[in-house]
Amino acid sequence: MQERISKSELETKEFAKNFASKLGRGDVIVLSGDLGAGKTKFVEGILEYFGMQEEISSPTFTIVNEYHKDKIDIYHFDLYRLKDVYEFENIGGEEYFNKGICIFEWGELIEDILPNDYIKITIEKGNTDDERKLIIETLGAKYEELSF
Amino acid sequence: MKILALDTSGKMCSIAVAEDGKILDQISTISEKEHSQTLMPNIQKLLKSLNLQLDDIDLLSCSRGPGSFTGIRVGMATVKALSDAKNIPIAGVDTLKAIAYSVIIKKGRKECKILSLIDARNENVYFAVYRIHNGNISLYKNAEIRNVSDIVEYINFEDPLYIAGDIYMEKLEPLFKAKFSKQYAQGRKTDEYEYVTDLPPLAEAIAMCAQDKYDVGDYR
Repeated sequence: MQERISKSELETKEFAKNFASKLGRGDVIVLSGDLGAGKTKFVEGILEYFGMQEEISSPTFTIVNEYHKDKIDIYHFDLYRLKDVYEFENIGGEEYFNKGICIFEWGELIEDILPNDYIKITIEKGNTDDERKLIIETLGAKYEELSF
Repeated sequence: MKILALDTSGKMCSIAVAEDGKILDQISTISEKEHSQTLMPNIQKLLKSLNLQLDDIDLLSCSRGPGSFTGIRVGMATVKALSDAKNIPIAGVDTLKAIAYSVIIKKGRKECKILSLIDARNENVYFAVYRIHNGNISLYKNAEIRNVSDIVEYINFEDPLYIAGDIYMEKLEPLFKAKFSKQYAQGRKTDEYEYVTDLPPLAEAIAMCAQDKYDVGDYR
């Protein structure tokens, strides 16, 4: 488990860009944090690394937003509106894991069917308004050696 | 009678037309495009190349799983739509059975057992065992989903065993080799087994299975 302190939105984005440099198709990230913690900014940072300069909107209503550029496909999920893991399966959710980089907000809902290897990122508010604590946990052998 | 069979349960999209138990022709593709994009154009292409219309088809068939959830749905939705539009009956075929039948197409009908395998992610595999006896195929062991390390437990048969399914090379081969080298070292007769490669596209086997079903009235 690794922890990083970010003093600003910009720093969080920079961290996200650096994090994204180690990602590829088949990587799954579970992204947790309270409202306003900076999950969306984090995802924006990831997209920026891959040259997708977009201000993104939350996938709370769409369930999943897709971003494609060159050979990179990013799927940004928000599972808040799903009832249970079966609903995720019914919409063919499992098929996304190998299609690109998947980022799940409220990913705990599908914990049972996540791939054996995935990364969990939690963003917590820090001591000041701008400060954040980023906690990175990796699960599975695939990520054992990696540090972010 | 003519059968139009399709398989979209895996990475390959395959379509076959069979007449009176023989495959007339088939199209199979693996592409970056989704099955939902390639299936209909390929059906059209195949029928056209055989100078056939949908009205000439007496039975439709597709894989009904296990396999890719969305893939299977694409196949089933297509078959149902064609069936509704043209009033053609449908027979669904178990993917694991189709895989076993593919082995028959390649190897013939001698006495044997066939272990059919399909990837189920996260070190899990769908599998079933079929038996060929007196030229007929029958289910020997019901389909199950298990961890790869559990599969080797099921191999203790007297009949020669064929194994089919891409996932074998990826996940199971070292486990099988380990089990049998142990048996050999212990001086016991090792079971015969052979992993079958280069199987025909699944739609061909689906057409054959559908023909069998039609012959016994098992269709809707």
